[in-house]
Parts: sequence; C-alpha cells; structure tokens
Amino acid sequence: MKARQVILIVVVLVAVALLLALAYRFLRPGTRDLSGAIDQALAAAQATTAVSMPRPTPTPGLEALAILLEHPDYNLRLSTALGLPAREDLPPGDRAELLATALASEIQSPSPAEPPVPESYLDPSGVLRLAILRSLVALGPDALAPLREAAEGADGAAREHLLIALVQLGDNEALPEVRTLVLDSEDPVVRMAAARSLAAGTAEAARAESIIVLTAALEDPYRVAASDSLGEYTIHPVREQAAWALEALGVALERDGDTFTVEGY
Amino acid sequence: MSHRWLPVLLALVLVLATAPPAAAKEPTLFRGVAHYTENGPGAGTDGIATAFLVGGAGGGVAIARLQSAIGPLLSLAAAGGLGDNPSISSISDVISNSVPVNLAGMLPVSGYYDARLVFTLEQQPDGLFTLQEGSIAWRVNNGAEILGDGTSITDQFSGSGSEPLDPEEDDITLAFDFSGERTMYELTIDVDHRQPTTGESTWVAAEGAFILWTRSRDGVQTMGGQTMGQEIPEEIIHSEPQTRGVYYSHRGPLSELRHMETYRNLLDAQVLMDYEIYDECSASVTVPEPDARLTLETCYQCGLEGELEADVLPDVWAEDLVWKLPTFGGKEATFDPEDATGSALRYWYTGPAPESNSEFGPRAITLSFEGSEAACRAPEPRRVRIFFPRDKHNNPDPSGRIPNWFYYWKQTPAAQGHAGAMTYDEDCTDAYGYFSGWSSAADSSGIYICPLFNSGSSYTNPVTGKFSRGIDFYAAIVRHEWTHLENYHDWWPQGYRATDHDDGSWDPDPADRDKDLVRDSREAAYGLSSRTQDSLGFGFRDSEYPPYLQMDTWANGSADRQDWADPGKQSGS
Repeated sequence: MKARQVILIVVVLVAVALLLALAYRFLRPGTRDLSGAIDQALAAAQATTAVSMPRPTPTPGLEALAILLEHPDYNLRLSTALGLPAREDLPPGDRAELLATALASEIQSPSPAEPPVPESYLDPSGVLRLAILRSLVALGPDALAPLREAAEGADGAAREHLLIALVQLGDNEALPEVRTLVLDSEDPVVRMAAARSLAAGTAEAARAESIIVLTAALEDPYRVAASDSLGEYTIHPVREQAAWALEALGVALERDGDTFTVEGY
Repeated sequence: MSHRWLPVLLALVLVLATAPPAAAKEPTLFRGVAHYTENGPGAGTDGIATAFLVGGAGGGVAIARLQSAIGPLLSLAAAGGLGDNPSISSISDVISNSVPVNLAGMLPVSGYYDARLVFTLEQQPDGLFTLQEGSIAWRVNNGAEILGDGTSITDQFSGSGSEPLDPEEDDITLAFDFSGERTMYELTIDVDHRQPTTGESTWVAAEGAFILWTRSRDGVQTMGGQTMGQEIPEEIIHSEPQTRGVYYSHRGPLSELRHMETYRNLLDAQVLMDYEIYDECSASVTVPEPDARLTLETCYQCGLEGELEADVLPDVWAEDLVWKLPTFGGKEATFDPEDATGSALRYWYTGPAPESNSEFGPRAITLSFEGSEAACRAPEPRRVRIFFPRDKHNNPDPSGRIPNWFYYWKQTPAAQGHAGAMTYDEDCTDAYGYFSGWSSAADSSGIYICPLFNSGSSYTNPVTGKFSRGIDFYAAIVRHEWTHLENYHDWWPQGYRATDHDDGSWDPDPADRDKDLVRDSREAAYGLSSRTQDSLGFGFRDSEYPPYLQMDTWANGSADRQDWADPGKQSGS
C-alpha cells in the first residue's frame, strides 16, 4: 500500500470519528432537567397580559361618521357636525349628503329640550340645526349640487333649512322662498337663519328685495328670556339676525334697547 | 495531493475535533419540605408503663400482624390487588387488618411525634437526586397511666429539638423513571435524629411500699426508688439519648410531587405524611393584578381597602410571606391578620381620603419572606394604581359637599393656576360655570364651577365643535370662565355700569349699546358687531364667543398624567 493511500485512510478515519463524536453529542438521550420544565410552567402561569401597543386614533370614515351623526349622545352629534368641514380627506359631496341626512333626522326627531345647551338662548335642537347649516355652508360651492338634489327630494322644514344653506352658498334661485321664510315660518330658528342668509345676496335687485324683508323682520315678535355664565338677559333672535344681515348689506341701523331703526326708512 | 499538505490537514482536523471544554454546569437542585406526624401508641416510647404496654401488648400485636400479613400481601401483589403503585398507606392497611384490633383504643397510652424536614436534593451524574443538606425539627410527648389495687404506673415525657441532616448518615433520594408513558418518581426518606426527652415515670405498688421511678433529663435516663423503706440508689441507665428515625417512601406521577397521605402503623398510631418537592421557593401575587385599579371607597370615613393574595410555592412558607403596603395619605395600612403575613389577607386604610392628589397613582406593594428556613425568593413588587371615585364627596373638605373631581383636579395643571380663585357651586344646574363680575364688581376676582357630570362626562364646544371629556372638559370650562374674568377686566376696567329696574330687567352700560356685555369699541377686534347681541348667529351672546374660542386652546390630554379620577383618563373606564 502506498503512503498516499495510508494517509488518505487515516484522514477518512479521523473524519468519521469526528462525525460520530458530534452525532453522539447531539443525539444522546440527555438527562431530563425538570427544573427547566418547572421554570417554564411557572413562567407561563405567571405571565402577565401582553404589553398593550399604542393604537392610532381612529379616523372615522363615512359610515362611522353617519353613525356618529345619529348617536344618542348630543355632544357627539354636535361635535361631528361641526367637525365635518375640516375633514378634507372626504369628498365635499359626501359630507354634504351626511349633513343633509343629519339635518333631516334632527328635524324628524328633534333633540330633547333637556338638558339645555348651557349659555345658549336656543334649545338643543336649534343649536344643532344652526351648527349643521354652518357646516354645510363651510363646505363651499362643492356642496351646491348635492344640496340642490337633497332640497328637491325634501319637503317641510328639512327643505326650508336646505334652501337657507343654498342661499348662503350664493344660490339666488332659492332666494324668493327663503325671503318668505323670514316672515312666515313658524319656526323662529328658521326665521333667524333665513334672515341671516339674505346677507349673502349680491345682485342689486335681490339686495333691495331682501332689505325690505329684513326691515320687516326687525319687528319680529319672538323674544327669549335666557341666561348664560354672565347672567340673565332677553333677546329677539330674529330681529338680531335681521339687523346683522342689514348691516352686512350696508344698511345703516340705529339700536335702542331691543328696537332697531333703519335709517332712511 | 501533495504530502506536504498532510500535516496541515491533520492539524486542522485535530484542532476541530478537540472541542473546547464545556463550561461546568451547576448541578440541578430540588428542594423539599416534609411534615411527618404520629399520633397514638408508639409515637413516644419513654416510661415504664409505655414500655410495658407498647413493648408488650403492642409489640405482640405488631409481630403477629407482620407474620399474618405476609401471606395476604404476597397474594394481593400476585393478583394485582395492591395496584400498580402500592403505597405505605395501602400496605399498612393490609397489615393492620390482618390482626383486627385497635391498639390506640385499647391501650391507656398517648403519644405524639411531629417532625418537619427541610432539605435540598442534588442531582447526581446517574440522574438520582440525593441529599445535599437539610434539617429536621421535631417534638414528641407521651404519657401513660395504669391504676390498680394499690398500684399505679404513670409516664409523662416530652422533648423537642432540631438538628441538621447528615448526607453521610441520612438518606433522602428522589429518582425519576422516564421509561413509561407517564414519568414517575420515587421519594425515599430514611433519616435519624437524637431524641433527648425530659420527664418522669413512676411505679407505685403495695400502697407505696414499693416505688420505682425513671427520670429523663435531656435524654440521660436514671432510675431509682425505694422498697420497704429501703432506698434504691439512683443510677444512670442510659447516658445517651435514644435515636429516633423517620422512614417513608412513595412512588407516584409527577403530579404528586406534592403529596399527603395518612395511615395507621403497626401499633395503630395514626400517621400523617405531607411533603412537597419544588425547584425553588417563591411566591407570586395573584391579587391585586398587575397595574390593578384600586378605587377609594365612597363613604367619608371609608378609606382604601381590598384583598391581597399570593401563590406561595411551597405553601408551607406562606406564613412567612410578609406584605408591605405604602403609606396612603400619611397613614399606614391595617391588615387582617394584623401581622400582615400569609398568602391571603385583607388590608384597609382609614378615611377620609388624602389631601393631596399626588397620593393617588402608581404605588408598589412589596413582599418578603421573613424567618423562612428556606431561601425563598420574594416576588417582584406588585404595581397598582390608586384612584378616587370622581363624583363622590369623600375628600377631606369638611363640608362634604365638594366632589372629588373638583377637590383633586384643582391641584393639577387642568386648574391652570386658578385653584385659589375657583369656587364650587353645587346649586347651579343650568351652566358648567359662571363669572359674576358683570353683575357684582365685588365678585370679579374669581370664577365658579358648577356640577359638570350630571348629564354625562363629555362636552362639545358648541362654537368650534371641539370634543372633550373628563379632566379636559373641566380644564376647558376653567379656561372659558377665566377668559370671562380677563375680558371683564380688559373691557370694563372701571366696572360694568348696568342699570337695574324693579321688574328685574336691566339696561346696559352706555358703552354697550347692543347689551351683549362686550364694550362696543372692542367688538370689531373680535369680528363682532356693536349693533347685535349675537353677531355670529350661533345662538349665544357675543360675550360668550371669545371664551368659546379661547377654551379650545386647552390641549386635550395635557393633564392626563395627573388625572387619578375613576372614571378618568387613566382609569380605563
């Protein structure tokens, strides 16, 4: 046998021995260490609940917003309505539809008068309806089309509110009906909102007709005794909004207590 | 391959084959406690009567039982009647029933022996656990009385002590058997200890003509007496205390590493063996849970109270577990049991609630083992959080009419530094707060806060729509009313000169033609009209709009970390 063969055999034998040693090391039946098992069982038994992860603040989508606008909690409904103009991640048309639906719902089932909204001279339903109108107007011209569609399909007080919003958004087609509301609606909230909306008319002819109506509204009899965190007071809400609209239309006013006088009339 | 590479290759193989020495592994240790008692004949063997009765009658019965039981035991074992895992208890039953008498009821002797063993077992290379160290604490007493015609024999002996176990002499082993479907273990205890006793035994016969006594002092026994007036001199009969042994063996599944059994021994003494094998003496708190919410009770004199519970392994050390609770409002907790030890107890702090809001919040309950013979590991302190009930009135205010939220939130950033200028008015129900400066200049240096949570915990700013709840609601109202106060002093530095009429109506200050309390000259700066009371048309007087806008500058969450109200920002409810 040549020396090279001997060397090769030795190398192979050493390698085999090494493999056997490693195999024994890893495959031999080990001594069972119960302390480890007991430790594991104890650790499992004493494990506390999983560490809570911070959760992102949920952003309500359209469906969730619709639910919030119908929520039994008045504060949530009011907050959601007033917050919608800032939700620029949602299409204005969708937001307008949400608000129109909420408005119709509030008119159909008004919020209870109790508890009152502290410091307001209006009842909770009046505060909420005005808030919805504000938000509809804040959506801007993109809300016009869905509002017109909603107004066409609506009637009664819901339609009246939507027409007021349309006028505030510059829709002159609704002006005649809204002028009628200023003087004829039985709902003082509609009358005051309608009066305020007339300040939005820009055409000269429309302006003149609105001034006549608003001047007449300065005699509105609706008077409220109210209180806020500063004390008790009385207010004529329709007169106040008519006066504000007249001022906005550039009409000079004089005030004496609760009585307004339009200069030149 | 060239030959010159061979040495290099071999060297490489040898280096690889020579693994570095493994780090010496700590031997696996198990710990154990055992409690062994005997109650009945033979539990203590000192004295003349005891020796006569137990050694005579009892011994006879015992021998008879052993002889009689061999046959039945063999038969039962062959038929499997003893089961797969015969215990000392089952074997003892067979033996005792082979001679069906009850020596404990028959013999006028009493005896009690109690031994508590604490030990550590160390795993040997063959897997067997053997005694590494340990100790035994024991106590014994026995008595007997025989009365007859002019004759009496009485025994009364007792003793107690403790000593370390000797791994050379004493034997405690724990063996595991992994061969079957279920892992089994076998525990064997075979230990001895010296049993020095103290006592006296007296035999009086023939109306006192013959007296024989034995005495034991710490195990050294002497005997003496008299007969017919002639004294029998005292002499030592045992100079060393006798040795007492405890033998026990049990085989069972791992679930029985804590085990208890009772049986009658050969002399009809009732034997109890209760032991537990464990890997570490430790405890874990189960009540209260981690980060538990502990809310003050609601009555004025009630304080904080609750339960404390822990799992102690082994539970024999539970009585050494000592609880320590932090002071609460400067008061120490009271416990039941009073020494604040054990695995289950009740604690309470007496009322009223603390003065400072900082007394609430996270606190740690600490535990320790004190006096344990074993080296027990105390659990980590248990963190809990203490809250006050938001809407109750059990704060230290003596009127009892201030709700807790007002009392404690005044001490937080939510009060915005105005605590000293805030008054709670429980009677106002139509507002969240108010400022009276306009109607009463003398009252223009403070604000009033009304009940906030009569109709829910949340609030929406009706002008901006900002939603807030709890302490943020409170902070927003404080900021609102404080803005009124600032506006008043800003707009009306000389005071607001309203004219009151008898019918309750009033005329505004001449500088406030629209009667909205905002000085006409300042209205434009706020985007308001000096002609109208509600310039924005939202349903409020103009004087309310600046505060409504200002209250939004309170950042929700700013005082969450100081809010310990329940419900509140940190209470999870």
